[in-house]
Amino acid sequence: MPLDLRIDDALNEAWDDFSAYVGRRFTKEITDEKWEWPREPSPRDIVDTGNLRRSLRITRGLNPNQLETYFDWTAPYAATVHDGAVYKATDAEGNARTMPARPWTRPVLYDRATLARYFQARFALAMRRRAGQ
Amino acid sequence: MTISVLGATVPQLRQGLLDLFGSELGVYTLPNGSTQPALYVVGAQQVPPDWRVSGIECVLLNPPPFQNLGGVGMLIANRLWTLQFRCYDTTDDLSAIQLLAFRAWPWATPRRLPATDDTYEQLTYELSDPVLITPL
Repeated sequence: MPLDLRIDDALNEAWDDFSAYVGRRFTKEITDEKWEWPREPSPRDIVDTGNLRRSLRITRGLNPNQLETYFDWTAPYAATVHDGAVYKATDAEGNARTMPARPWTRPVLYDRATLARYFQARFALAMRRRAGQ
Repeated sequence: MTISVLGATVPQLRQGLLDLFGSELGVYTLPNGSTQPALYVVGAQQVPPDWRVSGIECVLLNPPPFQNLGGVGMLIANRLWTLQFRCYDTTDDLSAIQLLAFRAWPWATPRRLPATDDTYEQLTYELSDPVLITPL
């Protein structure tokens, strides 16, 4: 196999591994008991029924020449949990009631150094597998 | 992202956002009766609970830490800003904000939370702000 095709092949394999890894990191954030909540128990995880955690769909972009992956949580309340919300009904004193944001994607997106190291390692492994082909 | 520069001060960030969205924003009414545009940069504290908001509110969340995106012989510092709009006027919506934001940041995809019986409409933007700087 020509070298450029081996590189493409290895990049795609490494990217798929990497995407699955990022998905696992997101899920770990959801299940970690680290999120402040106005009532006990706090901090707590973001798991009530498990529906949000299970609703993650990981899909590659349509263009096979681009390393692009979409992470979608299809639970209808996913954005509300992630970004927080303000309720229209106020409390007895007329103050706004809020649902705190629990942005589980942010710690992963901020951890670029670890993500980059993971991808580099998977790419190196994928290239080694193709050595001599 | 066009609203910040490396080391931008909070007043500079506020002014940049006001220039972009000021015409669409609602107002905060303070306990002393005075009003100001409903734009808040969350830093040491959240929006004070005794400020009443009407119309569309814009909140820029805590200035985020720098991430180094790497590079050869250079540092590419990135910050991921989170900007949130919320519409407290049930006769209005965030479509004008979305259009202004699209013109400013055409690459950004907001997360939209439509208005429901229980909650107000909301748009959240995560804006990557890479800046090239020279290492010491």
